[in-house]
Amino acid sequence: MTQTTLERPQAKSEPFVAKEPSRRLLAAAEFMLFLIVGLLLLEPILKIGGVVDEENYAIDKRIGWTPVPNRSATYRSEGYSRYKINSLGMRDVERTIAKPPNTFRIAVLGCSVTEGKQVPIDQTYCRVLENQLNASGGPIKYEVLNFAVSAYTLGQEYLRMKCFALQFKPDLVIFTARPNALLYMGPNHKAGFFNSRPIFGVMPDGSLVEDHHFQNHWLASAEGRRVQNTRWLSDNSSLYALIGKCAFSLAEFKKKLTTEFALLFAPKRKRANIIAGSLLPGVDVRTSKQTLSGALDYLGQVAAAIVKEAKGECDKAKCRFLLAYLPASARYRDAKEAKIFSDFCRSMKIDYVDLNPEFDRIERTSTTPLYVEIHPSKFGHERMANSFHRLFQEGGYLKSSQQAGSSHPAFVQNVN
Amino acid sequence: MIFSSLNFLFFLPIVFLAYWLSSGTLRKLILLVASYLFYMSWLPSYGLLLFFLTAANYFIGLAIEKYSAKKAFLLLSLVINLGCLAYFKYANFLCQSFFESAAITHGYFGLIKVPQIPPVLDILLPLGISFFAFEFIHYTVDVRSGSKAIKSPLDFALFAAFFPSQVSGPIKRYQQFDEQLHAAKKLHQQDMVEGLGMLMRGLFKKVALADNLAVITSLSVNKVFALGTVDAWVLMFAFLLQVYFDFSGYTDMGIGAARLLGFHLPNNFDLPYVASKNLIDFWQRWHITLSTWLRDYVQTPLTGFRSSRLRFNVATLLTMTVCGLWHGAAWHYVAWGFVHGVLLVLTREYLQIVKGSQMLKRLHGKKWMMPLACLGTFIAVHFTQSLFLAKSVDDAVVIMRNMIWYKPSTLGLAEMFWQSPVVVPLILYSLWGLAFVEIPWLPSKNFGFVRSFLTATPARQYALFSCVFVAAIAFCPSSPSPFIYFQF
Repeated sequence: MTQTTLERPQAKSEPFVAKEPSRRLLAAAEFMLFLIVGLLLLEPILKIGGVVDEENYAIDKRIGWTPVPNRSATYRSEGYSRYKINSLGMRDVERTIAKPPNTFRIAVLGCSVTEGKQVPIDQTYCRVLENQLNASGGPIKYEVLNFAVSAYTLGQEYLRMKCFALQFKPDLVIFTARPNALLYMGPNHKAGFFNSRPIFGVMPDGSLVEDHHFQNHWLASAEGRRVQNTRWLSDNSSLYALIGKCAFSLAEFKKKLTTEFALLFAPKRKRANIIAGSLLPGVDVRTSKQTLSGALDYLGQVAAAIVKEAKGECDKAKCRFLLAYLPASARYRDAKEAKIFSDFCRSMKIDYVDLNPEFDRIERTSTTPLYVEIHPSKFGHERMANSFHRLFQEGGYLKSSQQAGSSHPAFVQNVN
Repeated sequence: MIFSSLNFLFFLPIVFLAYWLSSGTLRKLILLVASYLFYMSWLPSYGLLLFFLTAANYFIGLAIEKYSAKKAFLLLSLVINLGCLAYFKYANFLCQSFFESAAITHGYFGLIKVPQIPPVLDILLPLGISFFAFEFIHYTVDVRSGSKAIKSPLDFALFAAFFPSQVSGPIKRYQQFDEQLHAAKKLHQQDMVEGLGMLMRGLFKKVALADNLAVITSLSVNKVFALGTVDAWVLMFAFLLQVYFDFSGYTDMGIGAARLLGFHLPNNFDLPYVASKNLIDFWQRWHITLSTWLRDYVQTPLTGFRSSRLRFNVATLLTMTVCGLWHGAAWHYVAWGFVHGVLLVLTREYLQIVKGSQMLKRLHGKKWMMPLACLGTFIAVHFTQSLFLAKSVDDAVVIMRNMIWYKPSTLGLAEMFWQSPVVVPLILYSLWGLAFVEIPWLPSKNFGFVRSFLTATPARQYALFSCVFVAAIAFCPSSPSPFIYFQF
C-alpha cells in the first residue's frame, strides 16, 4: 500500500515547467470546478457533523445575543452533546408562550451551567426537576422553563427575563449566578463575538446603568459588521460560518505575533505592560492591580443593583423570585463572591440559596464526578435538581403567587 | 511550533520558497537555519543541546572511522547520547523509584530514612530527544560497523536537525538521507502532489480525528474509578484511535513536508489496526522505524546471529521492555512493554505450533480467518493499551477490571462518542480508506474507479486537498490538544 523504505522511486514525473497558457487555463478551470463541487458536497456533511457551534447565536442589540431558533449543533468543549434550540430560542423542549391552565411555571435564567449543553437535554437539571415535580401526578402540572444562554452575565439574564421570560407568566423565577459571575461582568476584549453585550454599572446613588458602548464598538468593527451583514449566510451555510471561526483564530494569531515581536525588542521594565496590554488594551499593569483588588467590591454593588431590579420586575409580574448561586468545583470559585451575594440578598430580603456547600460535601464522598470539567456532569445536574426539589418543598415555593401573596419572608440559606 | 498550527502554515511556504529559489550550499544552509528555528521556537536553549549533541557525534563519527580505538569512541558516543537521554528523560523517574524503594525498605527493615515526598528535579524534557538520540546511536554504530562517516559538518547537522522528522520521527537512517542530500534536486509535480496529499491527510487525522477523540479521553482518564464497563471499552477504543491518528497524522505531515522539499522519509505506519494478522505483524506495521531500530540496535545485539529459541525470546522480552520504557519514564509504560513482549513470545511460539500442524495450517489458510485474526489482534492491543493510557499501573488495573466485570455506566461515554463530531470524520476517513488503500481482507478493487477519477489530473488532486483542508478546519475543536508522542 505504502512505501516503507527510504529508497527513491525509480520513475519520476516531469519537473515543473511552465505550461502553455491555454493548458494552464484549462487546469485552473478544472481545479475550480472540482473545488466548487467538493465544497458543495462538504456543506451537508458539515451540517450532519453539527460543527461550527460559534455561529449559533444571533446578535440582539439589547441583550447581546440570543440562540437562533431551531438550530442544532454539537457542543464540543467539555465532552460532546448534540443540542437543539427550540422554536422560541431556548435550550428546552417545545413550549408555548401562553400558560396552559393548572400549570405552575418556573422560569430559570442563567448561563451555560443551566443551559447544560454538556449533557443531553433530558439530563439538564431543569428537565430532571420538572420530571420530579410532575412525578407525584397531582392536579397541577409543573413546567421548568430553561431561559439560560451560554456566557450570559447577570445583566443579560436580567434583560432576558424582562424582555422575554416574563411573557411566559412564570409563578417563580430562579435567577442563577455561576461562580465567578461577578468577574465575568466586566468587558472582555478577547471574547470576540461574545464582546457584543451590554455592560452594567451603578451610579453613586445606587441606580443601575446599562452601557452599550463596548458592544457598539465591537458591532462597528469589521468582524461585527461581517456578522451582522451576513446573517442569512451564516444561518444557512456551515461553510460560511467557518469564516467566523477562522477570523477569530487569525486575529488571535496576529495579536500573539505582535506581542511576541514587541517583547523581543522591549526593555525589561516595559515587558509586564506589554503582556497586560495584550490581554486588555490600554491597561497599565501598575493601576490594574489596584483595579482588580477593588473589582469584586464594585461588581458586587452592580450585581446587587441588577438583582434588585430583577426582583422589582418579578414583584410587578406577581411571581416569586429566588437567587441561586450554582455549584462549581472549589478551584473555580472565590469565597468572597458567595459572601457578597449572601450579604446583599440578606440586606435586601431576597431569597437566596448557595448550592456549593452541599456539592463540596458530595464531592468529598462520592466517586461519581459532579463536574465534566467546569460545568456539571449528568450526576451534577441530577443533584442540582434534587437540591431545588427539596428546597421548593421546604420553602413553600410551589404555591402560585396568588396563593402565597406578594410578599415573602427572606429565605437565605445554604442547602445542606 | 507544531505542524498543525497557524505558525507552521506560514513557516512552511516561506521555507519552501526560499529552499527552491536557492541552490547548492545556500539551499542546505537555509534548511538548517529553518530546522533550528523550528526547534528553538519551543525553547531557544534547546537549540544548544541539539548543537552540542550534533557536534559531539560528528567528531566521534570521524574519529571512529579514522582511529583504531573504535570501540572506545563508540562507547563515548553511547555514554553521551544515552547519558543525555537518561538525564533529561529518566532522572526524575529514577530518583522517584529510588526513594519509593528506599521507603519500602525503611518500612520493612528500618534501614534508610527517606523524605516522605521524593525530591523533583526541575528538568524540562527537550522535545524529540529520544528520536535524535536514537538517530545518533544508529549513526555511530553503523560507522563502527564499516559504513562511511559523513564528512561535511553541514550535511551532518542537517541530518540531525531536519525539521520534518525532528521531534516525532520517523527515525531516519543516515545512509539514505545523505544520499538524498547529494542527489540533484528539482521540484517535481509528483513530489508536490504527494507531499501536499500527505500533509492534508496528516492534518485531517490530527485535527479532525485525534483532537476530537482527545476531548473524550482527557475527560475520563482522571476518573477511572467512575468508569462503567461500556465507558471503559469506549474510552479504550477512543484512545486507541486517538493515538494512531495523532501519531500517524504527525508523521504523515512530517513526511509530506519533507516530500515538498524533495526528501523521501520512511513510512512509519502500515494499517496497523486493520491489517495486522497477529502481534508480530502489528509491530511490523506500527511505528515501523522504531521497531526496526529496536530490532537492529537492541534485539539483534542481545540475540546474536545464531541463538537458541530461549535466548531469542528473552531478547524479545527485554527489547519490548526497553520499548515500553522509551515511551515514558513510568512503571505503567514498562509494564505495557513487558506485556507486549510476553504476547509476542506467545505469538511466536503459537506460530511454531501452527507450522508443525497441518490442521492449523489449513485453518489459518481459510479466507474468513484473516479478518478474524485482525480483529483478535485489535482486541489484544485494545485491552493492553490501558497500561499505556492510565496514569499508573493501579489505574490500568482498574480500567481492565471495569472492562471485564460489569459495572453500570456513569460517565455516558458511549453516548458522548456517538454525539461527538468525530463520527462524521471517521466515516469520511473510512470512505477515503476504501477508495485509496488496499486492505488485505476487503475487496477494495471495487472502489478503484473513485481513486482513478479523483487522481486523474493534478488539478483534481489539488481541489481534493483544498476540500480536505476546509473539512479539517471545520471539524477541528476549539482547543487542539498537543501531540501525544511529543512527551516521548
